[in-house]
Amino acid sequence: MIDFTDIDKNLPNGENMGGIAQKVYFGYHADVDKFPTKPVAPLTLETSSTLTGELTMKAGKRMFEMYLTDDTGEFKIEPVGEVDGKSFVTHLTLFHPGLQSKIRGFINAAKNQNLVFVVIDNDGQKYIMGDELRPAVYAGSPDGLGTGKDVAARKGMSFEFTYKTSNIYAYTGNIPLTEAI
Amino acid sequence: MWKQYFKFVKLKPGKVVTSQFGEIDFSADNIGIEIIKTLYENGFPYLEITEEGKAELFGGESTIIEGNAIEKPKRVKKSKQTTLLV
Repeated sequence: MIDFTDIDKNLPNGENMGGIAQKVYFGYHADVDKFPTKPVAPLTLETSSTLTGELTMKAGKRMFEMYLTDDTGEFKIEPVGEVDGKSFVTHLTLFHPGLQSKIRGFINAAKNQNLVFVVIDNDGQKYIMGDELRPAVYAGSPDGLGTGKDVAARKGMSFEFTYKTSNIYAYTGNIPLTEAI
Repeated sequence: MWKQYFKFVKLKPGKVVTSQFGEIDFSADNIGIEIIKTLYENGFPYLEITEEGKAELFGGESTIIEGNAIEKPKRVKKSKQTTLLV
């Protein structure tokens, strides 16, 4: 079992800003060469919640970035399951403005595919949605896809992606936005 | 300048979101050598040091272990005979 320890306030530099950065990073699950590894028999609370190693892509593949409107992105952790079978579903929601060709193409391509995301919160902590066994998937559009109803409406595409995981881990590695060789 | 001392490896030259400094475009020539050196010393997996870099920045010695992991180079006194470990 993991050793318990005292848990103090622990807000480095007093930082605890809500929300996520204005970019998320995505790719196809099938394009990932290696995922960072989960802790094996961790002894401390800290090591039990952090992945080790790098997210690397197959040759010729890379991760991509997507802009999102500020204050529309959220990374949410939902506990699920019955007694003795608890796990988590993580939800990434965001809004991308406009209905331009790239974002139309993205939802066309991604809606039924297995994906991977890296989400960075406003304190710089990174979370990966996807592992060797399970991908992130498109779950719907909570605030719709479209023009909006009136001129003051928000025109664009909202997305929700989900990923099921046994534990919550932070990722401390890098994100390759250029093709692996 | 930094490309004299380090080689960008495993990826085509371009952008990486680094855990320490955010997004860096490694196709650019004008990245500060201190940034590159710090990344290298902290095990950034996409940098390899050149012979010139070893000599200039680390007094001739730098050890790379187990693929991506990079042992922090040790400074060595010039008077002692040293062996290069690669």
